[in-house]
Amino acid sequence: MKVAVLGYAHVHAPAYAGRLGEVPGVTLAGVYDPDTGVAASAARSHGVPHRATLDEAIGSADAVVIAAPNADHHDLAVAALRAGRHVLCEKPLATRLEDADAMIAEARARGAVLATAFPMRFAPPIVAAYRAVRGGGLGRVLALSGANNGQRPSVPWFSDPRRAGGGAVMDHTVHLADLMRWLLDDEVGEVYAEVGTLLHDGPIDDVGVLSIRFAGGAVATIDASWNRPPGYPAWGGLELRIVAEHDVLDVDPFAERLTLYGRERAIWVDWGADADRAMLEAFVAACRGASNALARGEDGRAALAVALMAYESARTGRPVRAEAGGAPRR
Amino acid sequence: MIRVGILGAGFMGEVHAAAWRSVPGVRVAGIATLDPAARPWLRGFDGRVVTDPRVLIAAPDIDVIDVCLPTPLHESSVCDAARAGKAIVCEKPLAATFAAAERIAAAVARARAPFMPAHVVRFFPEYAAARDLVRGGRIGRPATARTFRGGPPPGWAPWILDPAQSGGLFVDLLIHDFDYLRWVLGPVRRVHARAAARPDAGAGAVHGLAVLRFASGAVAHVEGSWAYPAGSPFWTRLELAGPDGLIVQDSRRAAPLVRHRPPDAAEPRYPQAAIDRGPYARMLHHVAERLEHGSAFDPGIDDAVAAVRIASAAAASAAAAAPVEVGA
Repeated sequence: MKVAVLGYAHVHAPAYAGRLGEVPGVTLAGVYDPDTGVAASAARSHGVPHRATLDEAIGSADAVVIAAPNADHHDLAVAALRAGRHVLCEKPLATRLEDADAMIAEARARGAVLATAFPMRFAPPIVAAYRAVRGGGLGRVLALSGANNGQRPSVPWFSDPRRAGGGAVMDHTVHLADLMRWLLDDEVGEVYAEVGTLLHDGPIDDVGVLSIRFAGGAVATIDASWNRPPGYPAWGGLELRIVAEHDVLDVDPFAERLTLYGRERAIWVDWGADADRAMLEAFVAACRGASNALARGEDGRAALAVALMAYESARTGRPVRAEAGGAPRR
Repeated sequence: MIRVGILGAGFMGEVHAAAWRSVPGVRVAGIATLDPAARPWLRGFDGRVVTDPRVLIAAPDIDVIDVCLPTPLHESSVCDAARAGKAIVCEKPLAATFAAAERIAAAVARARAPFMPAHVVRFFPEYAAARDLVRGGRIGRPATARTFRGGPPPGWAPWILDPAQSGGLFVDLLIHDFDYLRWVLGPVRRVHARAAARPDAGAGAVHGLAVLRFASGAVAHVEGSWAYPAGSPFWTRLELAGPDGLIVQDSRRAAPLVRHRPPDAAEPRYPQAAIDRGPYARMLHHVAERLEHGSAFDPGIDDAVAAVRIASAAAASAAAAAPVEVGA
């Protein structure tokens, strides 16, 4: 299967492009980016063709991985889906629900896979937690608390409201919102959020804490803040606590790491399993008809809705209830 | 010589008695408890043991009344001690409700009684050091805080699990973090909280998640738990972040001495420092020092009331599923 990378603007693009070449049966068909300099240099570093146009890139592949700025996901995904290509799209799936809806509708119409890149579903500690929740005698899940705190991404478009659709809340809410929906097999019913711009200059939120009630009654919080300073030993991390009737699970999927002390600072070096690669393998399997834990377009939309509800709550100062279908009430 | 009368000989009474013993110039002169025979640790105590707290409150040879009774008994004992002209130390929370806290504060003010709430977290060296870093500008203007406090339910005192008596998890357990964060970040503007109860454990919350907005704009996530199974360790965590830095403290990773023993499933094991090495002694040392110099205790009654106000607002928010304005 030939897979092209559309957009090389996301911080995850190099990892996805690199891992794709390691997946059995997959050939990296090339890299396209509207910035031809970026695309050419990326293509060179991966030893694959630089695709000068979107049409050429789509034509070269059976499936695509989109790693463009958030607001560009819709146009790239729809173009690829219209051509019958399967799509794995970086999170958040889009910046507006109508864009996500259009992507999902296009995939359904073409019978193509539209997947959202939520690699944490494939991190072994999360998989073990999922199995425990689903069949491990924990009892009903009562509460979850998740923190996805990181540095502000150094790539400038992350801090451009038009291209990113939001700041820390848009960037970091969706991973945990997806994991919680997936673990509980439930939908978010209500969101309250405190959001602010307190750590960096610029127009975009860098502090966000969401307080959630799921339709089934479980309560949860998601801390999405970009509050890790430049000297932090890694980009950030993700932690999740699952409080159930009988047991409590404390999950730190990035705990498998070495600490490397250098002259100036210490850094963390992961030695645990590679969730990105497991996700890409699941995407390839899904393109071949398999059913697996891969997050689909609908999951990406639901997670996006949670981030949008948080912004709505911050604007109004009130909890925001989900409408049927997970859209924020307007 | 400062002479102390301790009201209550339960878990906290025993901890306070041990801590007072390490403070120079202080003697624990009396302890009041309903059933002395039920408290074997009193056998080694050389002062008076009485069954009626009013005896110690009225005793002319007692200077400080240290209230280590269950929360519902705080109001009567603090008010009596204030009227009797004693200096007062009172275990947290001051009261289970904001209204009761205000009544106590009025009585303390009328009597001009020296008063300190036992907000012991302020005297944990790690929490104090974190505040010093923040005040020294090491993280810049604080933007976010994240705290955890919890473990198994307090099996030694079942009344704590009854919100009508203790105020519940937000008031009894999380008041520590509410007070600490207010000490570091200033007044709280509003709180939004959610709670989870366990069907087999009554109506009270066993897990609480509170989001605080401070007048400064800072945002805090405060989490507390009584949901861990019996025998799990009690643990705490603190994060404070600003544009120039991040402070992290986790009790699970601060264990200079670990004694490996067969698991004792009945009682939670507290971080070593909580009992043996310091915070309570530091706190009571502060009381003795301030009494010697005739200066006010810090924290004082206003801090005690404000902490109860934040905590009860969190409980009210969880009950109403809506944010609550605090202004404390």
